[in-house]
Amino acid sequence: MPARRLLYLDASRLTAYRWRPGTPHEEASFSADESGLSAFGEYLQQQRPSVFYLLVDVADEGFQLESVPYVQGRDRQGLINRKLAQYYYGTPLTMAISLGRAKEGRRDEKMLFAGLTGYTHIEPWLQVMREEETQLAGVYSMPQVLAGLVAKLAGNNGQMLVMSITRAGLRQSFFDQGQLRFSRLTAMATGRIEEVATACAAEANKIYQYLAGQRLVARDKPLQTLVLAHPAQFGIIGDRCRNTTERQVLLGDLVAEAKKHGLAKAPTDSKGDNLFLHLLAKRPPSQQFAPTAERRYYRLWQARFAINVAAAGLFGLCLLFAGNHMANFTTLTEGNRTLQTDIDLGERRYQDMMQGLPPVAIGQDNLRALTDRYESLARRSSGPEPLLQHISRALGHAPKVELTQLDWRIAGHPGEDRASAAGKTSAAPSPAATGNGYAIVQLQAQLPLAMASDHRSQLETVNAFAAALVGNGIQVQVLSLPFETESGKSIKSSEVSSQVEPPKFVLRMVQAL
Amino acid sequence: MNIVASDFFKLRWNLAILVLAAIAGVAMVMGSKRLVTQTETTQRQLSAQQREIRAKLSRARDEEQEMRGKITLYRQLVDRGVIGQEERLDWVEQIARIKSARRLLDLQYDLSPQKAIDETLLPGSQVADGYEFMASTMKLRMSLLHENDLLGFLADLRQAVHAHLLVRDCALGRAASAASERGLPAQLSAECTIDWITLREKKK
Repeated sequence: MPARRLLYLDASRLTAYRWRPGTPHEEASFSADESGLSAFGEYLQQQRPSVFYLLVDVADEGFQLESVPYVQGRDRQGLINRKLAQYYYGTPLTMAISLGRAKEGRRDEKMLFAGLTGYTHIEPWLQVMREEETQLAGVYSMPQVLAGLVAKLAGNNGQMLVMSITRAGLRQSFFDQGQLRFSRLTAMATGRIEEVATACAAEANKIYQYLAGQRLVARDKPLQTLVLAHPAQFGIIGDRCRNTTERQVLLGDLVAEAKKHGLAKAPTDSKGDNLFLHLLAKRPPSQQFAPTAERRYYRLWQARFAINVAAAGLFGLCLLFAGNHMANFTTLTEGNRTLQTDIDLGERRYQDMMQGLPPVAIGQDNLRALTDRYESLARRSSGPEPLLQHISRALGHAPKVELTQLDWRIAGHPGEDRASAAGKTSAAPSPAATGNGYAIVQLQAQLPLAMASDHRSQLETVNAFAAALVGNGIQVQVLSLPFETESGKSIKSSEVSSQVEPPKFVLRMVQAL
Repeated sequence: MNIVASDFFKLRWNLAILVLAAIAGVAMVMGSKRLVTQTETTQRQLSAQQREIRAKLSRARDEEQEMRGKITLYRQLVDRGVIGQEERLDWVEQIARIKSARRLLDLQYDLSPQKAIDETLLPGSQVADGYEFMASTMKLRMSLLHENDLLGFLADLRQAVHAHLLVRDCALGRAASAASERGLPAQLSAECTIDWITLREKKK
């Protein structure tokens, strides 16, 4: 944050303060002449990064109370601008304060139109500030600052005249329900407390008459008049500013107020300059007098500040996200390290176990692949012996059966015949071929000639032989019988044939390897 | 306040800082996110590896036994000459020796050139890592007194030659009656197809 500097402008000079929390510290003072303005320009150059608050404490100010129709938006702004131009022609240092809407009638809005009418006195200082591109937060008047103090002092109930003392003189500010209605400044010739105390009584009378004339106060009851002063000077003020039928004097402890509002150094007399400057810096009023053009560089500073805050915020947010990611990353990395250690340990244990194996001139993976493939091949390599032996045993139980032809082969599919197997030497294997394959035997046999006329015996013998062949995972299929009993086939008598042949049949055996 | 072009010029460094902060911040977030994603991927891979190695360890004893068996088989294949070059001269000599020893009636054969093994015999691939399965197909015709002549011949051949024998098919039938060298007529005739399989180191 840049340094905050307060500029206090009275009728004769402008005094610059550096504000630190609780302490406005006077840095320089400039007279309202050519040399003073020049020195002020140099001062502003030196303090260019600071934000400035201009507090004007002069007699040339005006307050106009008026009820205006309640409008909103551009119409309202237009109305306010017209009223301000009407009341304060010749000065751009104006503002309108809304005092709320009336509770009766058409509920007009009560407005206080205020203006710093001594623009010719203020303008040279503003001119220097414009030239130096000063970051002017706003132009404020003393009654605005007092309003903040009074709001806490007297609450929002009743009417009160507050008399405050500054180096500019004796200021009388009238508040109704805690809201500023009117203020005027009376310059003091010497500024001594005796003069101020005397002026208190006189000015209180005058302003009472004015307020009564404006019907801002009722004549039938005394106006509460609060004089802010140092406790040591209560006596002289009390003596010279007594209660009357028109006023009820209250003495406000300036030191206590300063302490209450956090001013580090208590005032030594009844002048409240430092307290009011402190209040301005601590809680600047929401409204101020300077037109937009005067505050251009302050607005730029605000934009710059907002951009910087946005950049810092964005970067910080990203940093938070990235930090969160990095925390996750650290946790994950730690976990990965543990996992890797576990894996390495496991690998070592496994290698230790495998190192006990006999040495061989081939890698383990290659060895596994090679032997697996070989074993797959070996399972198909049993040759015809097992099935032939099986057939031989079956023949032992079927002495009437005589083999004439036996075709043994291995095939990828149980339904594969010899012709298709021969034509498929290089074709892709059938789905079933992914197993170990099949041994297939096509067996041609015949029965004794003596059985040629005994069809029933033929069928019984063939069926018994086929049944004897079944077993050990062998499936047997009768491809042809010596005598066909099926309805779909024709039968011829043996006398039709000139030559009688032994009954023949064909079987097919399939065994999964 | 209306911002005019000259104001933007005065704010240029701040705007540049904002842009830089945004770029740096987003890059930082994306970079760190990328790191996390990569590390998560690595963690998934490592977890899979860990599961794998744990499973491997749990079956290590069985695997050790299995590997011992495979090594034994490998050595047998080397000793039997199944792994290595074909020894055709030896094969022919062994066939002649067995024919003579068993006093076989007649034996004729036709051995084809070596080629990669037929895929129907070894589905999947003819290549095991580093080795190719090669086969020389033999057409064998025999005249037999008895079927045991064939079975005995095949058994002797398996024992004697440096190759793995795979009989693909055999057809046995009754022979036409004719006297043989031994004076006895052949009772049976046999026609077989036999693959002589060897494993050849794959050329790189």
